[in-house]
Amino acid sequence: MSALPKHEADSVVSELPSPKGPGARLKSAREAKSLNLEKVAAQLHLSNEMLMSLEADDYGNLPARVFVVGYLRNYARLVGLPAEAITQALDHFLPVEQEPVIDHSKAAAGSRSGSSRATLGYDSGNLFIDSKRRSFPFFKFLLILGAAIAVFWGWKQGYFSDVLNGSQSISQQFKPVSQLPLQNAADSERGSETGSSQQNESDSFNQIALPESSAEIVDTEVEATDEALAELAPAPVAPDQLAPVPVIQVPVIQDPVIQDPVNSDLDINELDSVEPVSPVVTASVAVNESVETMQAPAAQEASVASAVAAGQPEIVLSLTETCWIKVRDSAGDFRMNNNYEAGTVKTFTGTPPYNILIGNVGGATLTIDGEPFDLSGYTKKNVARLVLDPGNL
Amino acid sequence: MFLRRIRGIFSNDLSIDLGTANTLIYARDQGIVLNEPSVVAIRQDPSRGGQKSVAAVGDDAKQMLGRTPRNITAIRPMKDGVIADFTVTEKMLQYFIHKVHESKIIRPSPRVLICVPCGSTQVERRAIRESAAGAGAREVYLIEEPMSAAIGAGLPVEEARGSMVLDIGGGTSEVAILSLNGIVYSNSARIGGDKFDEAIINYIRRNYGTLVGESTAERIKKEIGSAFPGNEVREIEVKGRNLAEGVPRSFTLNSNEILEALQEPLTGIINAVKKALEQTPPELGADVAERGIVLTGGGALLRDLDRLIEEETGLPVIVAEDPLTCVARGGGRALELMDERGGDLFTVE
Repeated sequence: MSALPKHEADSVVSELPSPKGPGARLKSAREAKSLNLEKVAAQLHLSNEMLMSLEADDYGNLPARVFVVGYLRNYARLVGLPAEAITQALDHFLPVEQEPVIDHSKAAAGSRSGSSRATLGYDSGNLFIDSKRRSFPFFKFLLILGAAIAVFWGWKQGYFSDVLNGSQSISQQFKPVSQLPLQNAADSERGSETGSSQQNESDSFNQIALPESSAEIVDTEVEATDEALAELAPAPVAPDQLAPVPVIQVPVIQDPVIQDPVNSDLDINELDSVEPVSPVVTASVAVNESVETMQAPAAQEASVASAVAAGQPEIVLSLTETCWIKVRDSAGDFRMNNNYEAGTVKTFTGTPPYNILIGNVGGATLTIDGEPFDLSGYTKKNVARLVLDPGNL
Repeated sequence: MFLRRIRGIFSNDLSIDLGTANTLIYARDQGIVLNEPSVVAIRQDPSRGGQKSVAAVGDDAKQMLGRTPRNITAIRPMKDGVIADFTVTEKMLQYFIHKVHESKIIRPSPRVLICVPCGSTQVERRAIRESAAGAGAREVYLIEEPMSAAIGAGLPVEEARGSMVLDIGGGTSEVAILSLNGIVYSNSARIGGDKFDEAIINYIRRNYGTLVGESTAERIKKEIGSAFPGNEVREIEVKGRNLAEGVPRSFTLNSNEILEALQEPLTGIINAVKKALEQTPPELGADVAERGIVLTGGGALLRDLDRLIEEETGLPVIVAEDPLTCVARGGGRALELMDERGGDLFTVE
């Protein structure tokens, strides 16, 4: 592999008829030097076929551009032609843009243009799972957006307030657990009813039609609630421990109320199913009320009767300090949910029972028919939570 | 972290060829934006209790190499392709990253892809990663040099055909067989341009009894260095300190002498290539035999190195276009491809 002396190479260049392709120019130079193809192929370590393709400027049968440029440069050096001129001439025949590695836009579009070599490059480019990878964040974004819209729509439609009401109706359902003994078996059905507008009627009906034997039932119930309290009393209520309490209570109290086992079962099922939703409040209310129930069962009976006769008692809330008040009646007609200033006097005009939450309870006074109602039994950390049904006091 | 992201918006993605001899930075959509020697000059200030500060980096520092007063030390923080001085490398990277973002008001925090020798250990890679992070990089990716060099040279690495690349850098020579975007075989010899210079220095000392510096040796290599005997004999006049007389003397070297001087490191590279060809699976070996070996890196510019390898292996050998910048350009393209086709396209760490 010996290069020609410089002056000889110059004369070869000057004699060239300057054909178009770089391969053809090299071929002419080779023939001018009377070198045969096999000898040149051996010196360049290329196969005869590749060299013929190179001389014929048939780049479709040759490997990637980088190799073609290298072969041309080595060939030019061998026959004594300036390598730069040859490789520059190649640009017309094999533009740089056809490089498969470079042209990503075509690869993405799955373009089949260009030489067979280039097409092979594009095909392998299409094998990558890039489209999935790249679109994944887009779908994730869509999902999050969808979820956000759903939440906003639900909020606008009041779905969440319904859920809140639902939890209140659960507490209403739970309330009869302590009141059951005072009421007729039909009263237990009330818990499963959602239309609470009929409650007053059913209450009054049940209480008027209280059977003669109710006294006995009350006695047994008092014992039963005693047992229930005995179970509850030693564990003075960490909030998370309270949650299972209703479940324990139900079978205990259920015993005397065997008049309607089907409904009772229903109640239990419902309680079980709604238990995660039912707040701690209901449990404490239930306990408090059962305490009250124990204290004066007979007196309650009398007051209930009078209340029915006299219509709704007047419940007035008056504030001496700023308090957070949240009141909702059973029908959803009367609501208070705000921070009320000192001096506010509000009369409850909704349908009892009322679900009441009073923050800063020291500054609030609740009166029923002018009689002050003691909130201390319902207060924990200066916040009172109770379900107030004046008809049952 | 969040601040870095914001700063990242105002920064260019960079591919850095953190070489032993030169550091090249390729900025995305801009091309090669920096090509400077990996040299840092450090000034030690005795008045401040020996506190060290950076006196110069890159070209300026290289001119100081071997010509510094007592309080300045010009050092090359990279050796054999890996970090030799962690702190200085970090400072150097910081300087280079700032330099390519010169016009920006906000401190840059770019994504950075750094090319590492395939023979580097986990510890060495971690040092490079942390050094780049310390220099302000938002994210640091590492790619093996032969892969980057092959992409930069335009080799069809995604094809199911073997491509062989020999990247001769300042500190290391990497030889690798690539196929389907992965490295099938790679071998790294700690022989590179530095070893060539060293060989020239040793040859001159042995035969001429004269000591020349690294810069002079490099100049000799660039001007008359050759790897294969040619028809033309070139000469160069150099000056060095005569060891016997102790005074500077001038003498003339020719290319054949340098060829003789370079035999040892060149043999090392040839051996690495032959070993790689031995270890290559036969199908890929056939592909390589048909298409040839591609040379990249500054070492590929040594005159007639391709012809030497061609004669030794009997395979076609091709010098890539612009071999010095192949690795940095390939890294830049790898960054682009990663964004376009997903991160697992190449074995990027």
